[in-house]
Amino acid sequence: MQISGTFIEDTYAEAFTMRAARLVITAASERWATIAARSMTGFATSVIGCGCEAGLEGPAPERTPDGRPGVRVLAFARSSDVLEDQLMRRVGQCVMTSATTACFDDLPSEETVRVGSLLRFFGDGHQVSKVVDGALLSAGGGATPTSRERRFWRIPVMDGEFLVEDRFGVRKAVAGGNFLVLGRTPEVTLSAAERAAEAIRKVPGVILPFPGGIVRSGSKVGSKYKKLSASTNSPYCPTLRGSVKTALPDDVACVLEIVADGLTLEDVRRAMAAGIRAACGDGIARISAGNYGGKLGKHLVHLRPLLEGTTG
Amino acid sequence: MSTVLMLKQRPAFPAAPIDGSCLCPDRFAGRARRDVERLPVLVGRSHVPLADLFHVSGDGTEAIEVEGDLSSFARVGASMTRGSLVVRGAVGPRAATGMRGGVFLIEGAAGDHAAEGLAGGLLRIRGDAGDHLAAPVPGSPRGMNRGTILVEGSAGRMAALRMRRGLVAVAGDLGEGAACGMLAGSLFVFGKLGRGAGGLMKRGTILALGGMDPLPTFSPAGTFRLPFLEIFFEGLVAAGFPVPPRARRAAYLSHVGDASGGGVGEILVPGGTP
Repeated sequence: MQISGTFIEDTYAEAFTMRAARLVITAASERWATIAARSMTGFATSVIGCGCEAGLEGPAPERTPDGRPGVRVLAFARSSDVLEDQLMRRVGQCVMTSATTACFDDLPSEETVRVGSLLRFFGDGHQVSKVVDGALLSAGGGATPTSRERRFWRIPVMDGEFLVEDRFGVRKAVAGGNFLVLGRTPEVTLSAAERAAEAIRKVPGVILPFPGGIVRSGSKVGSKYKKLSASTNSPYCPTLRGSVKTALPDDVACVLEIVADGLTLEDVRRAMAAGIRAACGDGIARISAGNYGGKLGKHLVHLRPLLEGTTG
Repeated sequence: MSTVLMLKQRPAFPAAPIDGSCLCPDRFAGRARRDVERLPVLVGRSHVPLADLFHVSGDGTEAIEVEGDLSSFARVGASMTRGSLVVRGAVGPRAATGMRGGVFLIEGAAGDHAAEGLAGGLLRIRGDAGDHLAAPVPGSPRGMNRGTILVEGSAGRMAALRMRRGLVAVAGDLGEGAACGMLAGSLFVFGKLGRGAGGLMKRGTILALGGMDPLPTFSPAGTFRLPFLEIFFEGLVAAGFPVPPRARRAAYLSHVGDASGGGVGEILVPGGTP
Protein backbone atom coordinates (compact mmCIF):
# COMPACT_ATOMS: atom_id res chain seq x y z
CA MET A 1 0.00 0.00 0.00
CA GLN A 2 1.29 3.45 -0.90
CA ILE A 3 0.08 6.98 -0.21
CA SER A 4 1.67 9.81 -2.20
CA GLY A 5 4.63 7.56 -2.97
CA THR A 6 5.15 6.51 0.65
CA PHE A 7 5.01 2.83 1.49
CA ILE A 8 2.69 1.89 4.38
CA GLU A 9 4.01 -1.13 6.23
CA ASP A 10 1.63 -3.93 7.09
CA THR A 11 1.95 -3.51 10.82
CA TYR A 12 0.09 -2.06 13.75
CA ALA A 13 0.39 0.38 16.60
CA GLU A 14 -0.15 -0.92 20.09
CA ALA A 15 -2.01 1.43 22.42
CA PHE A 16 -2.91 1.18 26.07
CA THR A 17 -5.87 1.87 28.31
CA MET A 18 -5.24 4.75 30.68
CA ARG A 19 -7.29 7.08 32.85
CA ALA A 20 -7.87 10.57 31.49
CA ALA A 21 -9.07 13.91 32.79
CA ARG A 22 -10.01 16.96 30.78
CA LEU A 23 -9.52 20.41 32.26
CA VAL A 24 -10.55 23.87 31.21
CA ILE A 25 -8.16 26.57 32.32
CA THR A 26 -9.49 30.12 32.08
CA ALA A 27 -7.81 33.43 32.71
CA ALA A 28 -8.13 37.12 32.04
CA SER A 29 -6.82 36.44 28.52
CA GLU A 30 -6.25 33.37 26.38
CA ARG A 31 -2.56 34.16 26.55
CA TRP A 32 -2.47 33.64 30.30
CA ALA A 33 -4.62 30.55 30.10
CA THR A 34 -2.17 29.14 27.55
CA ILE A 35 0.81 30.05 29.71
CA ALA A 36 -0.71 28.11 32.60
CA ALA A 37 -1.57 25.14 30.38
CA ARG A 38 1.91 24.97 28.85
CA SER A 39 3.47 25.14 32.28
CA MET A 40 1.18 22.40 33.59
CA THR A 41 1.88 20.08 30.66
CA GLY A 42 5.56 20.90 30.26
CA PHE A 43 7.09 17.81 31.81
CA ALA A 44 4.39 15.32 30.92
CA THR A 45 5.65 13.54 27.83
CA SER A 46 5.55 9.94 28.97
CA VAL A 47 4.25 7.98 31.93
CA ILE A 48 7.59 6.19 31.93
CA GLY A 49 9.32 9.12 33.59
CA CYS A 50 6.80 11.90 34.15
CA GLY A 51 3.94 10.28 36.03
CA CYS A 52 1.44 11.33 33.41
CA GLU A 53 1.10 12.39 29.81
CA ALA A 54 -0.57 15.73 29.22
CA GLY A 55 -1.00 18.30 26.54
CA LEU A 56 -2.90 21.29 25.33
CA GLU A 57 -5.95 20.01 23.43
CA GLY A 58 -6.99 23.39 22.06
CA PRO A 59 -9.16 26.37 22.82
CA ALA A 60 -11.89 25.94 25.40
CA PRO A 61 -15.49 25.69 24.26
CA GLU A 62 -17.16 28.99 23.45
CA ARG A 63 -18.79 29.20 26.85
CA THR A 64 -16.41 28.51 29.69
CA PRO A 65 -17.83 28.11 33.19
CA ASP A 66 -16.77 31.59 34.25
CA GLY A 67 -17.25 33.21 30.85
CA ARG A 68 -13.56 34.04 30.38
CA PRO A 69 -11.20 32.92 27.63
CA GLY A 70 -9.65 29.55 28.20
CA VAL A 71 -7.97 26.42 26.88
CA ARG A 72 -8.53 22.71 27.21
CA VAL A 73 -5.97 20.31 28.60
CA LEU A 74 -5.99 16.51 28.60
CA ALA A 75 -4.02 14.47 31.13
CA PHE A 76 -3.50 10.69 31.10
CA ALA A 77 -2.11 8.39 33.78
CA ARG A 78 -1.97 4.69 34.52
CA SER A 79 -4.54 4.83 37.33
CA SER A 80 -7.00 7.21 38.92
CA ASP A 81 -4.82 7.48 42.03
CA VAL A 82 -1.79 8.53 40.02
CA LEU A 83 -3.91 10.94 38.00
CA GLU A 84 -5.25 12.54 41.18
CA ASP A 85 -1.73 13.00 42.50
CA GLN A 86 -0.47 14.42 39.20
CA LEU A 87 -3.40 16.81 38.82
CA MET A 88 -3.05 18.04 42.36
CA ARG A 89 0.64 18.76 41.84
CA ARG A 90 0.35 20.24 38.37
CA VAL A 91 -2.76 22.37 38.96
CA GLY A 92 -1.34 23.47 42.30
CA GLN A 93 2.13 24.35 41.09
CA CYS A 94 1.43 25.54 37.56
CA VAL A 95 -2.16 26.76 37.27
CA MET A 96 -2.77 28.22 40.70
CA THR A 97 0.52 30.08 40.43
CA SER A 98 -0.37 31.61 37.04
CA ALA A 99 -1.89 35.06 37.21
CA THR A 100 -5.70 35.38 36.97
CA THR A 101 -6.39 31.70 36.23
CA ALA A 102 -9.23 29.39 37.25
CA CYS A 103 -9.48 25.64 36.62
CA PHE A 104 -12.58 23.55 35.87
CA ASP A 105 -13.52 19.95 35.17
CA ASP A 106 -14.57 19.35 31.57
CA LEU A 107 -15.18 15.61 31.53
CA PRO A 108 -18.53 14.58 33.02
CA SER A 109 -18.09 11.16 34.58
CA GLU A 110 -19.31 9.06 37.46
CA GLU A 111 -15.72 8.44 38.51
CA THR A 112 -13.97 11.49 39.89
CA VAL A 113 -10.70 12.41 41.54
CA ARG A 114 -9.99 15.16 44.05
CA VAL A 115 -8.21 18.30 42.94
CA GLY A 116 -9.67 21.44 44.51
CA SER A 117 -10.58 19.29 47.45
CA LEU A 118 -6.84 18.84 48.10
CA LEU A 119 -5.59 22.24 46.96
CA ARG A 120 -8.02 24.16 49.16
CA PHE A 121 -5.75 23.74 52.17
CA PHE A 122 -3.40 26.26 50.60
CA GLY A 123 -6.03 28.78 51.67
CA ASP A 124 -4.94 28.26 55.27
CA GLY A 125 -8.49 28.24 56.55
CA HIS A 126 -9.63 31.21 54.46
CA GLN A 127 -10.78 29.06 51.55
CA VAL A 128 -14.48 29.14 50.78
CA SER A 129 -16.50 26.58 48.88
CA LYS A 130 -19.40 27.34 46.57
CA VAL A 131 -21.79 24.64 45.46
CA VAL A 132 -23.88 24.96 42.33
CA ASP A 133 -26.82 22.70 42.89
CA GLY A 134 -27.64 19.92 40.46
CA ALA A 135 -31.19 21.25 40.30
CA LEU A 136 -29.97 24.55 38.86
CA LEU A 137 -27.63 22.81 36.44
CA SER A 138 -30.43 20.64 35.13
CA ALA A 139 -32.95 23.52 35.06
CA GLY A 140 -31.22 24.98 32.03
CA GLY A 141 -31.91 21.85 30.05
CA GLY A 142 -28.25 21.48 29.20
CA ALA A 143 -27.81 18.60 31.55
CA THR A 144 -29.69 15.57 32.68
CA PRO A 145 -32.05 15.79 35.66
CA THR A 146 -29.54 13.76 37.60
CA SER A 147 -26.82 16.36 37.20
CA ARG A 148 -24.55 16.15 40.18
CA GLU A 149 -23.86 19.28 42.10
CA ARG A 150 -20.60 21.01 41.35
CA ARG A 151 -18.44 22.28 44.16
CA PHE A 152 -15.85 24.96 43.63
CA TRP A 153 -13.17 26.26 45.95
CA ARG A 154 -12.29 29.92 46.19
CA ILE A 155 -8.71 30.02 47.40
CA PRO A 156 -7.46 33.48 48.33
CA VAL A 157 -4.27 34.39 46.44
CA MET A 158 -2.38 37.62 46.06
CA ASP A 159 -4.17 38.75 42.88
CA GLY A 160 -7.62 37.90 44.18
CA GLU A 161 -8.95 34.37 44.17
CA PHE A 162 -8.00 31.09 42.53
CA LEU A 163 -11.19 29.26 41.65
CA VAL A 164 -10.83 25.51 41.21
CA GLU A 165 -13.36 22.71 40.94
CA ASP A 166 -13.51 20.29 43.85
CA ARG A 167 -13.44 17.07 41.81
CA PHE A 168 -12.56 16.23 38.23
CA GLY A 169 -14.16 13.52 36.13
CA VAL A 170 -12.01 10.58 35.08
CA ARG A 171 -12.65 8.13 32.27
CA LYS A 172 -10.93 5.22 30.63
CA ALA A 173 -9.02 6.49 27.62
CA VAL A 174 -6.43 5.33 25.13
CA ALA A 175 -2.79 6.36 25.10
CA GLY A 176 0.16 5.37 22.99
CA GLY A 177 -1.36 5.53 19.54
CA ASN A 178 1.68 5.97 17.34
CA PHE A 179 3.35 5.76 13.97
CA LEU A 180 6.88 6.09 12.70
CA VAL A 181 7.90 8.37 9.86
CA LEU A 182 10.91 6.91 8.01
CA GLY A 183 12.55 9.54 5.83
CA ARG A 184 15.47 9.78 3.45
CA THR A 185 16.96 12.89 5.10
CA PRO A 186 16.57 14.41 8.58
CA GLU A 187 15.21 17.65 7.11
CA VAL A 188 12.45 16.08 5.06
CA THR A 189 11.53 13.71 7.90
CA LEU A 190 11.16 16.54 10.39
CA SER A 191 9.07 18.49 7.93
CA ALA A 192 6.77 15.49 7.39
CA ALA A 193 6.45 14.90 11.12
CA GLU A 194 5.55 18.55 11.62
CA ARG A 195 2.82 18.23 9.00
CA ALA A 196 1.50 15.19 10.80
CA ALA A 197 1.47 16.92 14.17
CA GLU A 198 -0.30 19.91 12.68
CA ALA A 199 -2.99 17.69 11.19
CA ILE A 200 -3.52 15.82 14.44
CA ARG A 201 -3.90 19.01 16.45
CA LYS A 202 -7.14 19.62 14.55
CA VAL A 203 -8.64 16.38 15.87
CA PRO A 204 -10.66 16.99 19.06
CA GLY A 205 -10.16 14.77 22.08
CA VAL A 206 -6.51 14.09 21.26
CA ILE A 207 -3.18 15.39 22.47
CA LEU A 208 0.40 14.93 21.36
CA PRO A 209 2.31 14.76 24.64
CA PHE A 210 5.84 15.04 23.27
CA PRO A 211 7.70 18.25 22.43
CA GLY A 212 6.20 19.72 19.30
CA GLY A 213 4.16 16.55 19.01
CA ILE A 214 7.19 14.60 17.79
CA VAL A 215 9.42 11.97 19.43
CA ARG A 216 12.96 11.32 18.29
CA SER A 217 13.86 8.93 21.10
CA GLY A 218 11.37 6.16 20.56
CA SER A 219 11.79 3.30 22.99
CA LYS A 220 11.62 -0.44 23.10
CA VAL A 221 10.64 -2.47 26.15
CA GLY A 222 13.52 -3.53 28.38
CA SER A 223 17.23 -2.89 28.44
CA LYS A 224 20.52 -4.64 28.99
CA TYR A 225 20.54 -2.68 32.26
CA LYS A 226 18.18 -4.39 34.69
CA LYS A 227 16.95 -1.22 36.37
CA LEU A 228 15.64 0.24 33.12
CA SER A 229 12.19 -0.73 31.88
CA ALA A 230 12.68 0.92 28.49
CA SER A 231 15.61 1.81 26.31
CA THR A 232 16.34 3.27 22.90
CA ASN A 233 14.53 1.70 19.97
CA SER A 234 17.77 0.32 18.52
CA PRO A 235 16.29 -1.35 15.40
CA TYR A 236 15.16 2.10 14.26
CA CYS A 237 18.34 4.02 15.11
CA PRO A 238 20.14 4.73 11.83
CA THR A 239 23.54 5.04 13.49
CA LEU A 240 23.27 1.47 14.79
CA ARG A 241 22.54 0.02 11.36
CA GLY A 242 25.80 -1.88 11.24
CA SER A 243 25.80 -3.15 14.81
CA VAL A 244 22.24 -4.34 15.56
CA LYS A 245 19.49 -6.09 13.64
CA THR A 246 18.02 -3.06 11.92
CA ALA A 247 14.46 -2.43 10.82
CA LEU A 248 15.52 0.32 8.43
CA PRO A 249 15.80 0.08 4.66
CA ASP A 250 19.05 1.34 3.17
CA ASP A 251 17.56 4.61 1.94
CA VAL A 252 16.26 5.71 5.37
CA ALA A 253 18.43 8.17 7.26
CA CYS A 254 16.07 9.40 9.96
CA VAL A 255 13.02 8.19 11.92
CA LEU A 256 10.61 10.32 13.92
CA GLU A 257 7.67 9.05 15.91
CA ILE A 258 4.28 10.59 16.49
CA VAL A 259 2.49 9.57 19.69
CA ALA A 260 -1.17 10.44 20.21
CA ASP A 261 -3.33 10.00 23.31
CA GLY A 262 -7.09 10.27 23.01
CA LEU A 263 -10.26 10.11 25.05
CA THR A 264 -11.46 7.16 22.95
CA LEU A 265 -9.91 4.63 20.60
CA GLU A 266 -11.85 6.23 17.78
CA ASP A 267 -10.24 9.60 18.56
CA VAL A 268 -6.81 7.98 18.40
CA ARG A 269 -7.64 6.24 15.13
CA ARG A 270 -8.82 9.50 13.59
CA ALA A 271 -5.67 11.22 14.74
CA MET A 272 -3.39 8.52 13.36
CA ALA A 273 -5.14 8.48 10.01
CA ALA A 274 -4.97 12.26 9.68
CA GLY A 275 -1.33 12.32 10.74
CA ILE A 276 -0.17 9.55 8.43
CA ARG A 277 -1.89 11.07 5.42
CA ALA A 278 -0.27 14.43 6.17
CA ALA A 279 3.18 12.89 6.61
CA CYS A 280 3.26 10.93 3.38
CA GLY A 281 5.00 12.51 0.41
CA ASP A 282 8.34 13.12 -1.27
CA GLY A 283 11.35 11.94 0.71
CA ILE A 284 9.32 9.78 3.09
CA ALA A 285 10.20 6.17 2.33
CA ARG A 286 7.72 4.45 4.57
CA ILE A 287 5.37 4.69 7.55
CA SER A 288 5.62 2.08 10.26
CA ALA A 289 4.34 1.78 13.83
CA GLY A 290 5.60 0.79 17.25
CA ASN A 291 4.34 -2.36 18.88
CA TYR A 292 5.43 -4.97 21.35
CA GLY A 293 4.22 -8.05 19.56
CA GLY A 294 0.68 -7.37 20.69
CA LYS A 295 1.50 -8.48 24.22
CA LEU A 296 1.38 -5.21 26.15
CA GLY A 297 -1.36 -3.01 24.81
CA LYS A 298 -5.03 -3.82 24.62
CA HIS A 299 -5.67 -1.75 21.50
CA LEU A 300 -4.08 -2.70 18.17
CA VAL A 301 -4.46 -0.20 15.34
CA HIS A 302 -3.49 -1.79 12.03
CA LEU A 303 -2.21 0.86 9.65
CA ARG A 304 -3.49 -0.40 6.32
CA PRO A 305 -7.12 -1.05 7.32
CA LEU A 306 -7.04 2.28 9.17
CA LEU A 307 -6.07 4.14 6.02
CA GLU A 308 -8.42 2.13 3.84
CA GLY A 309 -11.24 3.19 6.12
CA THR A 310 -11.92 -0.30 7.38
CA THR A 311 -11.59 -1.51 10.94
CA GLY A 312 -8.00 -2.10 11.82
CA MET B 1 -47.94 12.47 30.64
CA SER B 2 -48.88 14.68 33.58
CA THR B 3 -51.60 14.27 36.15
CA VAL B 4 -53.78 17.37 35.81
CA LEU B 5 -55.86 18.76 38.67
CA MET B 6 -58.38 21.58 38.29
CA LEU B 7 -59.70 23.34 41.37
CA LYS B 8 -63.49 22.98 41.36
CA GLN B 9 -64.07 26.31 43.05
CA ARG B 10 -62.04 28.50 45.28
CA PRO B 11 -62.96 27.38 48.79
CA ALA B 12 -64.34 29.94 51.17
CA PHE B 13 -61.37 30.90 53.32
CA PRO B 14 -61.57 28.57 56.30
CA ALA B 15 -60.44 29.34 59.83
CA ALA B 16 -57.33 27.28 59.17
CA PRO B 17 -55.74 26.83 55.76
CA ILE B 18 -56.37 23.65 53.90
CA ASP B 19 -53.46 21.23 54.18
CA GLY B 20 -52.25 20.82 50.60
CA SER B 21 -49.35 18.51 51.44
CA CYS B 22 -50.91 15.68 49.45
CA LEU B 23 -50.27 17.72 46.29
CA CYS B 24 -46.88 16.16 45.89
CA PRO B 25 -45.38 13.88 43.20
CA ASP B 26 -44.27 11.41 45.85
CA ARG B 27 -47.89 10.90 46.89
CA PHE B 28 -49.25 10.64 43.35
CA ALA B 29 -46.69 8.44 41.64
CA GLY B 30 -47.90 4.96 40.83
CA ARG B 31 -51.49 5.50 41.98
CA ALA B 32 -54.49 4.92 39.77
CA ARG B 33 -56.71 7.92 39.15
CA ARG B 34 -59.34 6.54 41.53
CA ASP B 35 -56.73 6.26 44.30
CA VAL B 36 -55.56 9.79 43.62
CA GLU B 37 -59.11 11.05 43.95
CA ARG B 38 -59.36 9.36 47.34
CA LEU B 39 -56.25 10.97 48.80
CA PRO B 40 -57.29 12.62 52.07
CA VAL B 41 -57.03 16.39 52.39
CA LEU B 42 -57.19 17.98 55.80
CA VAL B 43 -59.71 20.82 55.78
CA GLY B 44 -60.05 22.37 59.18
CA ARG B 45 -60.40 19.39 61.53
CA SER B 46 -61.74 16.84 59.06
CA HIS B 47 -60.43 14.97 56.05
CA VAL B 48 -62.14 15.15 52.70
CA PRO B 49 -61.20 13.26 49.53
CA LEU B 50 -59.14 15.13 46.99
CA ALA B 51 -61.93 14.71 44.45
CA ASP B 52 -64.16 16.98 46.57
CA LEU B 53 -61.82 19.85 45.76
CA PHE B 54 -60.30 19.01 42.37
CA HIS B 55 -61.20 17.45 39.04
CA VAL B 56 -58.51 14.86 38.41
CA SER B 57 -57.36 13.88 34.91
CA GLY B 58 -55.13 10.88 34.37
CA ASP B 59 -53.48 8.42 36.68
CA GLY B 60 -51.01 9.51 39.30
CA THR B 61 -47.58 10.31 37.93
CA GLU B 62 -44.44 12.11 39.04
CA ALA B 63 -45.52 15.13 36.98
CA ILE B 64 -48.45 17.10 38.41
CA GLU B 65 -50.12 20.22 37.03
CA VAL B 66 -52.63 22.07 39.14
CA GLU B 67 -54.93 24.77 37.74
CA GLY B 68 -56.40 27.25 40.20
CA ASP B 69 -55.74 29.68 42.99
CA LEU B 70 -54.36 27.68 45.92
CA SER B 71 -53.72 30.66 48.18
CA SER B 72 -55.88 29.05 50.87
CA PHE B 73 -53.85 25.82 50.69
CA ALA B 74 -50.86 25.45 53.02
CA ARG B 75 -47.90 23.12 52.60
CA VAL B 76 -48.40 22.46 48.91
CA GLY B 77 -45.55 20.28 47.70
CA ALA B 78 -44.35 19.62 51.24
CA SER B 79 -41.52 17.09 51.53
CA MET B 80 -41.41 16.41 47.80
CA THR B 81 -38.31 14.52 46.75
CA ARG B 82 -38.75 13.96 43.01
CA GLY B 83 -40.72 14.71 39.89
CA SER B 84 -42.31 18.01 39.01
CA LEU B 85 -45.19 20.03 40.39
CA VAL B 86 -46.61 23.03 38.55
CA VAL B 87 -49.27 25.25 40.11
CA ARG B 88 -50.86 27.66 37.65
CA GLY B 89 -51.85 30.18 40.25
CA ALA B 90 -50.90 31.36 43.72
CA VAL B 91 -50.17 29.11 46.68
CA GLY B 92 -50.60 29.69 50.39
CA PRO B 93 -48.14 29.51 53.27
CA ARG B 94 -45.37 26.96 53.72
CA ALA B 95 -45.28 25.79 50.13
CA ALA B 96 -42.42 23.37 49.48
CA THR B 97 -41.68 23.02 53.17
CA GLY B 98 -39.15 20.25 53.68
CA MET B 99 -38.68 19.85 49.93
CA ARG B 100 -35.67 17.64 49.14
CA GLY B 101 -35.76 17.13 45.39
CA GLY B 102 -37.60 17.60 42.13
CA VAL B 103 -38.85 20.82 40.56
CA PHE B 104 -41.72 22.90 41.93
CA LEU B 105 -42.96 25.78 39.78
CA ILE B 106 -45.45 28.28 41.16
CA GLU B 107 -46.84 30.48 38.40
CA GLY B 108 -48.30 33.00 40.85
CA ALA B 109 -47.31 34.28 44.28
CA ALA B 110 -46.29 32.19 47.29
CA GLY B 111 -47.31 32.82 50.88
CA ASP B 112 -45.17 33.18 53.97
CA HIS B 113 -42.63 30.57 54.99
CA ALA B 114 -42.25 29.17 51.48
CA ALA B 115 -39.44 26.61 51.24
CA GLU B 116 -39.18 26.31 54.99
CA GLY B 117 -36.41 23.82 55.75
CA LEU B 118 -35.75 23.21 52.06
CA ALA B 119 -32.97 20.68 51.57
CA GLY B 120 -32.81 20.07 47.84
CA GLY B 121 -34.52 20.48 44.51
CA LEU B 122 -35.57 23.59 42.63
CA LEU B 123 -38.39 25.89 43.75
CA ARG B 124 -39.31 28.56 41.25
CA ILE B 125 -41.82 31.30 42.05
CA ARG B 126 -42.91 33.46 39.14
CA GLY B 127 -44.64 35.99 41.38
CA ASP B 128 -43.76 37.37 44.80
CA ALA B 129 -42.91 35.41 47.91
CA GLY B 130 -44.01 36.33 51.42
CA ASP B 131 -42.01 36.72 54.60
CA HIS B 132 -39.61 34.09 55.95
CA LEU B 133 -38.71 32.59 52.60
CA ALA B 134 -36.39 29.60 53.13
CA ALA B 135 -36.66 29.86 56.89
CA PRO B 136 -35.57 27.10 59.27
CA VAL B 137 -38.27 24.75 60.44
CA PRO B 138 -39.32 25.76 63.96
CA GLY B 139 -36.67 24.76 66.47
CA SER B 140 -33.99 24.01 63.91
CA PRO B 141 -30.63 25.78 64.21
CA ARG B 142 -30.18 25.70 60.43
CA GLY B 143 -32.23 27.06 57.60
CA MET B 144 -32.15 26.05 53.97
CA ASN B 145 -29.59 23.32 53.39
CA ARG B 146 -29.01 22.66 49.65
CA GLY B 147 -31.29 23.31 46.73
CA THR B 148 -32.16 26.36 44.67
CA ILE B 149 -34.92 28.93 45.07
CA LEU B 150 -35.65 31.35 42.24
CA VAL B 151 -38.10 34.19 42.88
CA GLU B 152 -38.89 36.25 39.83
CA GLY B 153 -40.84 38.84 41.81
CA SER B 154 -39.98 40.27 45.21
CA ALA B 155 -39.89 38.65 48.62
CA GLY B 156 -40.68 39.78 52.14
CA ARG B 157 -38.74 40.06 55.37
CA MET B 158 -36.34 37.64 57.03
CA ALA B 159 -35.55 35.55 53.98
CA ALA B 160 -32.82 32.89 54.15
CA LEU B 161 -32.60 32.99 57.92
CA ARG B 162 -29.64 30.88 59.15
CA MET B 163 -29.19 29.51 55.65
CA ARG B 164 -26.63 26.70 55.54
CA ARG B 165 -26.18 25.86 51.87
CA GLY B 166 -27.73 26.44 48.44
CA LEU B 167 -28.80 29.41 46.36
CA VAL B 168 -31.65 31.89 46.73
CA ALA B 169 -32.00 34.33 43.84
CA VAL B 170 -34.55 37.14 43.89
CA ALA B 171 -35.09 39.19 40.76
CA GLY B 172 -36.97 41.94 42.56
CA ASP B 173 -36.61 43.48 45.99
CA LEU B 174 -36.04 41.71 49.29
CA GLY B 175 -37.26 42.89 52.66
CA GLU B 176 -35.44 43.61 55.90
CA GLY B 177 -33.29 41.16 57.82
CA ALA B 178 -32.36 38.87 54.94
CA ALA B 179 -29.80 36.13 55.59
CA CYS B 180 -29.50 36.90 59.29
CA GLY B 181 -27.27 34.33 60.96
CA MET B 182 -26.32 32.93 57.55
CA LEU B 183 -23.97 29.96 57.93
CA ALA B 184 -23.08 29.54 54.25
CA GLY B 185 -24.66 29.54 50.82
CA SER B 186 -25.53 32.33 48.42
CA LEU B 187 -28.27 34.95 48.34
CA PHE B 188 -28.48 37.04 45.17
CA VAL B 189 -30.81 40.05 45.10
CA PHE B 190 -31.05 41.92 41.84
CA GLY B 191 -33.40 44.60 43.20
CA LYS B 192 -33.21 46.54 46.46
CA LEU B 193 -32.13 44.78 49.62
CA GLY B 194 -33.69 45.82 52.92
CA ARG B 195 -31.87 46.92 56.04
CA GLY B 196 -30.03 44.60 58.38
CA ALA B 197 -29.09 41.97 55.80
CA GLY B 198 -26.44 39.53 56.93
CA GLY B 199 -26.64 40.39 60.62
CA LEU B 200 -24.66 37.81 62.61
CA MET B 201 -23.72 35.92 59.46
CA LYS B 202 -20.75 33.57 59.77
CA ARG B 203 -20.00 32.69 56.15
CA GLY B 204 -21.78 32.85 52.84
CA THR B 205 -22.36 35.42 50.13
CA ILE B 206 -24.99 38.12 49.78
CA LEU B 207 -25.00 39.88 46.42
CA ALA B 208 -26.99 43.11 46.41
CA LEU B 209 -27.05 44.42 42.87
CA GLY B 210 -29.38 47.27 43.84
CA GLY B 211 -26.89 48.33 46.48
CA MET B 212 -27.29 48.59 50.24
CA ASP B 213 -25.64 50.01 53.32
CA PRO B 214 -24.11 47.09 55.19
CA LEU B 215 -24.28 47.05 58.95
CA PRO B 216 -21.34 48.81 60.64
CA THR B 217 -20.01 45.40 61.68
CA PHE B 218 -19.01 44.71 58.04
CA SER B 219 -15.63 45.95 56.77
CA PRO B 220 -14.92 46.91 53.16
CA ALA B 221 -12.27 44.59 51.69
CA GLY B 222 -11.84 46.09 48.24
CA THR B 223 -13.28 45.78 44.76
CA PHE B 224 -12.88 42.54 42.82
CA ARG B 225 -14.04 40.61 39.81
CA LEU B 226 -15.01 37.22 41.17
CA PRO B 227 -15.09 34.39 38.61
CA PHE B 228 -17.33 32.19 40.77
CA LEU B 229 -20.25 34.60 40.32
CA GLU B 230 -20.25 33.96 36.60
CA ILE B 231 -20.82 30.25 37.20
CA PHE B 232 -24.01 30.99 39.08
CA PHE B 233 -25.08 33.61 36.54
CA GLU B 234 -24.56 31.13 33.71
CA GLY B 235 -26.76 28.62 35.51
CA LEU B 236 -29.44 31.22 36.18
CA VAL B 237 -29.47 32.47 32.60
CA ALA B 238 -29.63 28.91 31.28
CA ALA B 239 -32.64 28.36 33.54
CA GLY B 240 -34.31 31.44 32.05
CA PHE B 241 -33.96 33.56 35.19
CA PRO B 242 -33.67 37.29 34.50
CA VAL B 243 -30.09 38.22 35.37
CA PRO B 244 -29.52 41.94 34.67
CA PRO B 245 -26.70 42.43 32.14
CA ARG B 246 -24.96 44.88 34.46
CA ALA B 247 -24.46 42.04 36.94
CA ARG B 248 -22.29 40.11 34.50
CA ARG B 249 -18.52 40.39 34.62
CA ALA B 250 -18.86 43.38 36.92
CA ALA B 251 -16.57 44.43 39.71
CA TYR B 252 -18.04 44.19 43.20
CA LEU B 253 -17.11 45.94 46.39
CA SER B 254 -16.82 43.27 49.05
CA HIS B 255 -17.79 43.90 52.68
CA VAL B 256 -16.61 41.17 55.04
CA GLY B 257 -18.47 40.30 58.21
CA ASP B 258 -20.44 40.10 60.34
CA ALA B 259 -17.76 40.87 62.93
CA SER B 260 -20.28 40.54 65.70
CA GLY B 261 -21.02 37.04 64.46
CA GLY B 262 -17.31 36.23 64.30
CA GLY B 263 -17.94 35.65 60.63
CA VAL B 264 -16.16 35.77 57.31
CA GLY B 265 -19.22 36.21 55.16
CA GLU B 266 -19.37 38.75 52.40
CA ILE B 267 -21.81 41.29 51.07
CA LEU B 268 -21.10 42.25 47.47
CA VAL B 269 -22.38 45.51 46.04
CA PRO B 270 -21.55 46.97 42.63
CA GLY B 271 -18.18 48.66 42.81
CA GLY B 272 -15.91 50.68 40.60
CA THR B 273 -12.82 49.51 38.78
CA PRO B 274 -10.88 46.87 40.73
